[in-house]
Amino acid sequence: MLVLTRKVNQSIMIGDEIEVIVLEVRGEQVRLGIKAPRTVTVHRREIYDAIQRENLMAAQAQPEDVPAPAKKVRSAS
Amino acid sequence: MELETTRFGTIRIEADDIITFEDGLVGLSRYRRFVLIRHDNEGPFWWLQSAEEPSFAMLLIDPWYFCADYEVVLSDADAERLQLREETPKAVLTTVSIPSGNPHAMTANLLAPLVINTELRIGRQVILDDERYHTRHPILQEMWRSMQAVEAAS
Repeated sequence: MLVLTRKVNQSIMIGDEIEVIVLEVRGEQVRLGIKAPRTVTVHRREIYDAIQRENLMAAQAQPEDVPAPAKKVRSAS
Repeated sequence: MELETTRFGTIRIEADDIITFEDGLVGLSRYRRFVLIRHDNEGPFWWLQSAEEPSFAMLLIDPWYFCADYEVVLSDADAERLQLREETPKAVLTTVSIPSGNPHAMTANLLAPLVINTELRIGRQVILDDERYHTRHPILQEMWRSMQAVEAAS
């Protein structure tokens, strides 16, 4: 892993198009600004991990685990 | 053509049943090509079966079955990747987690639905930018809340 030291308002470039800027440091919290093309998705790591966990859970299900449907609320739109 | 699956045995599919997820699923990028299999003829459940790995299938649910006011607002980038316009036929399904031995506590991930352009047969798991949604909505509780909201509105 590459480790760089930056001060507030300094940034790093990842390739030609992605810039990560340190906006504020307050105690243990760091605010980052990210400039990236619209096609690049940026998410907090915890969210990404949580979604991966749910995907793996959904992939563990077996047909016999699925409960019989209850009364329907409304048709899909 | 025929597709071998661990859960459903050998199934017959047409070439245009295949749905391509160019980026795979979140945290699971190794599978790209899938088919949708309905769990039964009436219920809200579906399976996203890998066309590459017989043992990989994810349980999905029609989110409007239990959350009538669910809203999916795509980012421009996601809409662009899915080549979706207002009028393009699309499908939205969400993953389901069933805690072992306790199916009534099953939850759905409303934060990261699978959106499919059914015309071009391309799909993408998107991450919504909406604070109402998270990764574990209890399905039965949502159904109850949703029914009350519909009644209150009518």
